[in-house]
Amino acid sequence: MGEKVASDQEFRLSPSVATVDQVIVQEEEDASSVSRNGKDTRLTLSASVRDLVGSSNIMDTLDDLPPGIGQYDDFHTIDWLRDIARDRMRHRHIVKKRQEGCWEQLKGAHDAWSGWVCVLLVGVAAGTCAGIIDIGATWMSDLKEGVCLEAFWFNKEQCCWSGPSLNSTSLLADGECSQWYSWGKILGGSLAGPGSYIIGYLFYVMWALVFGLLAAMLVRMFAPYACGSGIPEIKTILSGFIIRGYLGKWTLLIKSVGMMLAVSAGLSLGKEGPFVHVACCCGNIFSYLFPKYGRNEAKKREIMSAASAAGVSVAFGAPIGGVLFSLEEVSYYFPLKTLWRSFFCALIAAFVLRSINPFGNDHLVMFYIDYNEPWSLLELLPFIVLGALGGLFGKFFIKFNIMWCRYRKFSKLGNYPIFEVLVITFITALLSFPNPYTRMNTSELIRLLVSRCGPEDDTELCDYYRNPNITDPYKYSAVAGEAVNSALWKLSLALIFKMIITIFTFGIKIPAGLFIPSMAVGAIVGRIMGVGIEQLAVTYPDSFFFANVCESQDKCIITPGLYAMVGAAAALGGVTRMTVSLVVIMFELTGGLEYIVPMMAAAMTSKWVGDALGREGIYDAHIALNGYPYLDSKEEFTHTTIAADVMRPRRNDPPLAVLTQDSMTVEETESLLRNTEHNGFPVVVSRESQYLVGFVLRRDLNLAIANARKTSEGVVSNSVIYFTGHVPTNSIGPAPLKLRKILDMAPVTITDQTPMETVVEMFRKLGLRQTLVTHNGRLLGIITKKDVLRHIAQLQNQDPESILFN
Amino acid sequence: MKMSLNFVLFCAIFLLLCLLDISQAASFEDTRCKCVCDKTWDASGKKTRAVFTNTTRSEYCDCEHVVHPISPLIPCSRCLCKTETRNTTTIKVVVIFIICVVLMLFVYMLFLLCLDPIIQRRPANSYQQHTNEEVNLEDLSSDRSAPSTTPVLGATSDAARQRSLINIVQKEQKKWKGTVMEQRKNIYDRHSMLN
Repeated sequence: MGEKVASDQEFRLSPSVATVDQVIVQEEEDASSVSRNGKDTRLTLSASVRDLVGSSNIMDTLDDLPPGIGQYDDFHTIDWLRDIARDRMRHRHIVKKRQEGCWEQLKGAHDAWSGWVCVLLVGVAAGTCAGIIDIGATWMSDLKEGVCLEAFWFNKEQCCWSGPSLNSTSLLADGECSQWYSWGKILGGSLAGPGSYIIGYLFYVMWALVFGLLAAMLVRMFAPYACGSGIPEIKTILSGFIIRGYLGKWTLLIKSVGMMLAVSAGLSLGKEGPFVHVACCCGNIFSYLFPKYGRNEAKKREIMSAASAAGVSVAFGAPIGGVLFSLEEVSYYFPLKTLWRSFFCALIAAFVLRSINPFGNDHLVMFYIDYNEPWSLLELLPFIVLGALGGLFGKFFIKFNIMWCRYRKFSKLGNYPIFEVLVITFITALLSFPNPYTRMNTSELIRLLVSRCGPEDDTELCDYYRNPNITDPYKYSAVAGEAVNSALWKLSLALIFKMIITIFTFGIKIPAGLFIPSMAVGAIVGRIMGVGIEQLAVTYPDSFFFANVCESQDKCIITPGLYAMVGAAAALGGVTRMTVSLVVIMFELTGGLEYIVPMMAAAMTSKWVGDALGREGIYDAHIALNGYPYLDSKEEFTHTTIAADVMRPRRNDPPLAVLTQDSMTVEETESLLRNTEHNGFPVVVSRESQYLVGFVLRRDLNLAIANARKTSEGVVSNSVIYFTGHVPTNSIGPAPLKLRKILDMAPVTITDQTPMETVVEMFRKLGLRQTLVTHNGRLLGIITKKDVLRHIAQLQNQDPESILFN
Repeated sequence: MKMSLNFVLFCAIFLLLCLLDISQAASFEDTRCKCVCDKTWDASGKKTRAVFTNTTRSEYCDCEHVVHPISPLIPCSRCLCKTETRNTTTIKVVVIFIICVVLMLFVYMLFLLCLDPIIQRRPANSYQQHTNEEVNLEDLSSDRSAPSTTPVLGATSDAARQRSLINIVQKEQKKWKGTVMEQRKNIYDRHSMLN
């Protein structure tokens, strides 16, 4: 009854108000002083000029609002426009207050540099974490084989670092190191022999199982979000999605420890991808020190973009590559300011890691190479072939990995995550021990494959009949010895094993990265091909093909290590579909500009071949598998649908739930909140006219009402909620509730005839959370980001219900 | 959550300091000069290769100073000398720190798996566990805002204050457990994420 009266009054009043407003707005627009955001259809609709001018000051008084306003719930999408606007208001507020005194000026200065301080801290933290993890992972990996009895904290290489006997020079071969005790030596007493081998085997498998079990248990017990690579989720989060706890302290701790354990377990996975997650955790944690970033989700994502650059920077010792990775692969919103901050953050992280010097080789990565042999133009052909193979491998890997992950998701297998980890670990350990190339740490394998054979190498792969009479025997190719043949056989077996086991490994519930295993696969293929071509060149130095390669009969320069490097780049490119950042990462690894063209050729071919076979990279495929609400900015929208086809409510649905600006009571609003599950409500002038005033979020509304009921006097169920600027003071009845502060007066609106192409583009470019649809100026419906995603999924004949947390 | 995490870290650092005192390292050097000479230097091919390591300063790290005093026969063109540095203390501290953290986590996990259910079953804890559903911010932001303490009537004595402290810790732990439980449900039961 009351509502009817109120709306009647409203009905009588509103036309006159509207006309007055329209006139004033018209004038203002003619003077072109107001239209701040060009497409303000709402201007002509309802908001009064006073409202409009006032709206710029809403957020100034945000401090008075209850805590939590402007935050988001778990699994919600953020509204970039709103958050950026909020930050602008905050900034304006600080600038205004700066005149008030020295203290305020100091505060303003702190606000201005807090972004840089924050990324500095993030860089330091990411570098430190990476250093600790690198040292820990190499130590634990070697624990599978033995222990350095005199100083247990050294890994095998560090244990034998000072040479066979201390402080003296000697003439012993490097292989024997008296300080390092393998398990066979400790228990069996002998260095060689079947007994020692069996003991070594048993210990290897046992340690692997212990590490694997521990990693899986820790993840399950303390931080389930720490499993997997993390990059698909980081991508989703950076595109504007909230996953609470995904970047928390426990996740950081467990992911760091779990990474070490998982790598040490000898599983076919790497720690380079999870570094991005670890760095982002650091970014999230440190952003809470600065309210500017901690309380504003859009601003926080700027810090996280910089953090992900630092992650790659420490993972590969490639600061520039990290920045480009953040730009190309991870980030969604990447203004220039963020670019510079990422640059700085990556630099700091690399610097800190370098000063920790985790590998004792003065480099940031294990597989640093420093040769500089020339390559001839004809070698581009094998490089392109390697690229094509990389693309093929990428497609093969993505297809089967997604198949297996889908099977895990929907079958009973998913109910035994720890058992699965144990089985995979057991199989991996059992099969990898006999083959020296799978037994060693994957990073070490890559180092071995990409390195050039020099005087210090005494491995099977470097068994060549060198000609000792040339001045620089290691520069030129030579005929391969017997051992190289057997090494190639073992490498082929290792290749097959790694290709298959990685499919099953990526996705088990422990921290697992993909960079290293895919690079290893590519490096093996590359090395095999490189050795093959090398031997061809050595055998037929006079042929047409090798005319450029060979200076003379016995002076051919073909570096198999370079082929391995190119192969690694190609395989990684095929799996992740990166191009620019990948090439930069690779040439930062090689430390020379000599090999940019081979890398570029391989990366490009790999992407072409991969894209021809299937469009999405592994991370996009995992985003699609999990149904994260990620609006890919790479894909084009080519359908001819219009906004009216996508908007809600649909034809048979109940009408859109709206609030009126000055006629609904607290009770009515609360019942609306109870009966609907929408995350926000448009506010209209009246139900009859449906002229749009603004948009209010459910969460804010809930908080504001609850807060008002608690704190303000006289607010009862019958109080009328006012979203307008002026509240009639002479009204009888309970005290009114003014909620203008939480109203978004500038919601983005489109008309119902807007093509979806434009709408999708708006969602992507502006980072909208929702847009309101109007027809002849009246509110008609609403389109949310998830509606758009559902629509796209529908058009691609996918199941639209698979989108996360509809 | 914060409490338990801090506890783990604190214990780790404490153990670390203890271990640092006990373990006096054998002499492992921080700088080395490594010279490697390949097998082509020896025409007979018996000795495959030669490795020389010493800890002289870097300006003397070349074949003349390192290799020749021992075996003057080796031609220096077949040798490669490199100075390398490392920091043994960093490695020691880091590895011991990692061992401590893993041990702490392991013990805490065992505690949560075995002892905690028994403690929870005890009826002594009959105080009310009211969960604050109103503001569901991130667990991190709850660290910032002061946790709403349960009002303790007449909390003048130390015992009462202590009990309220324990209550806070328990409440934090409860909240953390709830978060982890939710995460576990998402990942292990519903399979809605991180597949």
